[in-house]
Amino acid sequence: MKKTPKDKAKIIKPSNRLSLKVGKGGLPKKILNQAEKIQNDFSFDFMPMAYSELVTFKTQLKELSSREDSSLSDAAKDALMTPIMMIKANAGMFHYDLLREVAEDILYTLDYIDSLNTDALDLIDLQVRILNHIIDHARPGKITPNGLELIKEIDAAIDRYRKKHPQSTPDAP
Amino acid sequence: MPYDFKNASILIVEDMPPIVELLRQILHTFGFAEVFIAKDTEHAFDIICQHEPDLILTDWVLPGGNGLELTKKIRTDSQSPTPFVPIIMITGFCSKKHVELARDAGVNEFLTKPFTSQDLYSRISQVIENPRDFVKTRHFFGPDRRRHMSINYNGDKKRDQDDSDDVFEIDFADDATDFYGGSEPQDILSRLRQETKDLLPES
Repeated sequence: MKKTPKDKAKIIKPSNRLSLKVGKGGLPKKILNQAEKIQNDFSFDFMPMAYSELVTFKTQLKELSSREDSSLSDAAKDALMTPIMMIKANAGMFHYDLLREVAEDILYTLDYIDSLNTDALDLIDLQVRILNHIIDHARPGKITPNGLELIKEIDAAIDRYRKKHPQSTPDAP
Repeated sequence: MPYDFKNASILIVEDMPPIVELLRQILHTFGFAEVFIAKDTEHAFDIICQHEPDLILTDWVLPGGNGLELTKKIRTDSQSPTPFVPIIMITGFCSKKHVELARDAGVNEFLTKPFTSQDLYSRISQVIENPRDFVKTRHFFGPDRRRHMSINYNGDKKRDQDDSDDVFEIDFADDATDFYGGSEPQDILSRLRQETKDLLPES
């Protein structure tokens, strides 16, 4: 189909107001190190909020899994993914590394599945019990070897699910 | 000459107080003297109309709306005083679908949570050093969505590795402390691990 003049894209070169105000050349390493230290030292007890997000997720999951139709619309997926995304994002920001990693795996699972079939529900149920347990006992810090082993098993379970239910693969988290 | 942010203003649109505080501290360290805060889209648009900040950081999920709607409003609303202002979307969503939605709404840069102060600095630096042209069509107004990128990417792809051990090259530290001490949580963890191992057996 031929493009009409109305369909043509107009290219605009706006003036870079920010650059005009701040100049160019970056920030000294010293400043960047200070900012990094501020972030590393920043602490916040994220667990009450994480628990609240988990409750939201469980409620959504219960509601969706009680429906006769097990398929997942984009809106239903978003409703499930949002509380887990909040856990992943904020756990990472406040240095709860294992919690972040497990939430990221759940997010990947939710992105991958297109229905709440029995296998998907089994996988999500187990992931959520793990997440619940971590929230009950977590504190900020790096992942222990035990935590790493756990993540390895979760990833392997996701791979088994993908083999059993192949489809076009979403981007890896 | 290094950047001098003391005359530049920035708006943070985020409803979670600790994230706001962390961002505020980092931005002050970078040198921003004027940092506006809004916790929802309506408040944000009011601040934009009143103060015309030079840069906007917005969360995706916000009370009473979202960062996509705010971005579209800044770009296309007739009341918007700064349709070309650089917008950095900050979110925990990281799928291709979400990046495309943000791009199509008109954001300049996408920053995934969790992020480091260095990541934030890189995005700010990007909009300063490499500003994009704007494109106006019947259905879109915002920064040019085309990116120059290498098609010969050889980096890691977490899910497509033959050797999944690579995924676990995470720094082992002496202060590994993601669980409280005591044996009970670790016992439960081991049990859950075994349960995960037994889930969906391959036939």
